[in-house]
Amino acid sequence: MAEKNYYTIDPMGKLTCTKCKIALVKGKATFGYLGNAFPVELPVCPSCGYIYVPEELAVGKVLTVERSLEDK
Amino acid sequence: MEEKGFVGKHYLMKQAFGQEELHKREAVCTREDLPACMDTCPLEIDMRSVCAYVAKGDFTKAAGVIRTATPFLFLLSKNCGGACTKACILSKMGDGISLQALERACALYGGAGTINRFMLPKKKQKVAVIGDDLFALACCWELGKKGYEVFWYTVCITMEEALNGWGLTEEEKKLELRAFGGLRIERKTQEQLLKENLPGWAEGMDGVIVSPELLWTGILDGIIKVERREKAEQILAEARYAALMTDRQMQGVQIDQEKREKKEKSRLFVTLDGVEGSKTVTDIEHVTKEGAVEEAKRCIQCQCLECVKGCAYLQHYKRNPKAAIREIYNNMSIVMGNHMANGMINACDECGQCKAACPNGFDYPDVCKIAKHTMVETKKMPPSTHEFALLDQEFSNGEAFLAKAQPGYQKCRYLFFPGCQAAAVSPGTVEAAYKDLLHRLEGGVGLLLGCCGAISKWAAREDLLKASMEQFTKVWQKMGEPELICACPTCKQVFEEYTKVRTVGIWEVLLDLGVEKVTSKKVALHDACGARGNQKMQEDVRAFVKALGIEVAEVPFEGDLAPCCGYGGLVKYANKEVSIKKAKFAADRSAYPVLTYCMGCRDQFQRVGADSCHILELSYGVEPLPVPDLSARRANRLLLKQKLLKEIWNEDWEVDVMLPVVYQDGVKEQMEERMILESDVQEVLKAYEDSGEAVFDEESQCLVANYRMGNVTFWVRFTKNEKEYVVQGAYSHRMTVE
Repeated sequence: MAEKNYYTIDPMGKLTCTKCKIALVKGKATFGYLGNAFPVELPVCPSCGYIYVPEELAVGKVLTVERSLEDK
Repeated sequence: MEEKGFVGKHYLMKQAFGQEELHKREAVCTREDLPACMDTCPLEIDMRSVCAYVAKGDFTKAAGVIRTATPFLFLLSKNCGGACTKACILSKMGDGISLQALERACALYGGAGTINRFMLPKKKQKVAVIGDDLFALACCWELGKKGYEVFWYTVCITMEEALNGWGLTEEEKKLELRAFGGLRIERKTQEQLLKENLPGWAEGMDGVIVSPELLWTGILDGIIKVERREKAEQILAEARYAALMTDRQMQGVQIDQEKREKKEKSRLFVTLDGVEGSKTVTDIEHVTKEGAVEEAKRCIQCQCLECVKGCAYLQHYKRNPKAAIREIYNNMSIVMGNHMANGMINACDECGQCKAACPNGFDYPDVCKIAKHTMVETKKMPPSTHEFALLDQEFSNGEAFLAKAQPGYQKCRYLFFPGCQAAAVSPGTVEAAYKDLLHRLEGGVGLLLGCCGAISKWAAREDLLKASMEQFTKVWQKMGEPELICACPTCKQVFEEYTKVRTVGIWEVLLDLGVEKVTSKKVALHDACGARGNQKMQEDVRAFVKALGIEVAEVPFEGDLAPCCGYGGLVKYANKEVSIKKAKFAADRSAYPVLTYCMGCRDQFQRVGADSCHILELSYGVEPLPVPDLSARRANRLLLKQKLLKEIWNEDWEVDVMLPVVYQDGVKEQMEERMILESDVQEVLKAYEDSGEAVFDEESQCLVANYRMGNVTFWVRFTKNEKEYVVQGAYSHRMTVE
């Protein structure tokens, strides 16, 4: 069975790593909070591994999950 | 407190208090005690609900309420003595509600309606009831309703016969007796009831009740002794008592007949704000539907609202403290699962208003405080709730901290402590006040810019509070243990609670030194929560305000009953919505400008658009600044420190050189909402300069960089030109990502 991903974003070549000057690609990343881990797919620099968290994800789903974990 | 240690692998449990204490705390609240009408009624008929239904014109439901207490609605409506009307709280200021008239109306206009039956499961035990009167019939109903098989020994040929003599028509009797349908009552008609037959009737029975009307003496042991009564409601209440005791006997409870339990008197406190006396609008004999509705509308639905009426927080959560502490207790007991009450607990500012307002002093804030401490100790306090505020305390007692003796002095007689809010909100006032004290007081006046530790106290962080007190005590001792001049009621309260320092309010000092009249305005004075229970402080401030030439208008909820502005208890950070509601509620109490003696209150009021001013701003003629955002609150403290160091001690102190950063329209508002400081943005940009790490977004043509500080990752969307950074947006998250 394939590993579950809680969220996937494909940068579609529209994001560039300024340090490595190459396009970000869809890559594996893990969100962690209060001892919980969530595998996701985010735009990642294939060279330096820089992970990009877009605003709509940070103030949306990530915030909601943070709040609910805090009340656990 | 009992430490339970680890349960399972990951869960730390601690029982703050047990059920017994919970019940003890709950019992302080009288809101569930009976209203006077119900308390006086021998049958405890819920006339408050009857009034509510009649006021809506629903006579059938109202009749149903009476019938849950007794099936004899018509009988009661014609014969009840009406003690409730005399007991009604409205009788103290006019006429009590004519509840007899309402009872009559219920019988006339709702008496023929459906009868609700709540049948209990059938019981195997049998019981004999002996008598021919209302008492016996009522006992049959009471026991039949409880599921017993009842054998009724009587000379009556029909049930109706037992209702003779109470002025009921045949039709009314039939309506009353509908309530007996479905009950297992077997009539054993006798030619006459003779005492000698009693042992025979009692044979095979599990319980026996004998009507007092028979006047039998020396009957079988164990039969519940009852009094002979004359009034209908008393006969029915006596029947209920006999049935209840017999029921208990049959369940194996030993009854001590010598000690008949007395009912405790209701302690219900009734909120009477705005209630005026009025006259009854109907009479018992000629009650009409309309008349009854109007009469019922006079009912004030007796209840105690003392704690809720002045607290926007309790109103927001639609809770009363009694119900809320049970939720909090349950919340503390959860090992696994969602802690649904966390938000509610952290939104209480612990200001103590509800406790002061409660006629019995119900201590709700104490429970919230205990809960917060338990949450911290068991690591269940949501990390995001107080972090921003705690970092602010760290900032006040770190970068912005300043402790200096007056130039030329090693030791000082006084130490001025303006409080972190004064320096953040109105640095000009702090400067003016300190310079004035330096000028007019002798013996040296030191200055201490920092936080008193209230933030960590509210956040239930004992460790940080202790550290803050240690830091303060060191400075205080070094300065020769001076008297502490506080400009903030909360700081003064905290120092009095946790140190042995002598404190004095700046308003007292200035009043002694002489105060000039500055205005003749009329204002609403908002009492700070730090002054609650402190009559002297409230009076001293009023004397100071009077000396300034100000007339103080009366406002609802003054002194000890003043509501919190929404800053206290860190509600501002824990729950913005409640904080704003509290500020609005407190500001809207009066049409006059609000004068405060706490800078936190002043800031809160200004935030909700109220015309407000602090006593020191007024006294020193400092023009109130526009509401500073979170970043400006920090910058104000640093700039004040820099300015005072230069002007008073002639010391240069460099505030961190800032990168040239400008913000697009709307970005600062967004940052305020998301609690992101300009200094956070600068840290991100500095990190970008150091590492060159960022993402270029083709769509928005922006760079996006991030930096993690403490428990939060900050992201900044920006563009860069030769001269400056232009910030297009900022956001943050607490989760880590790797």
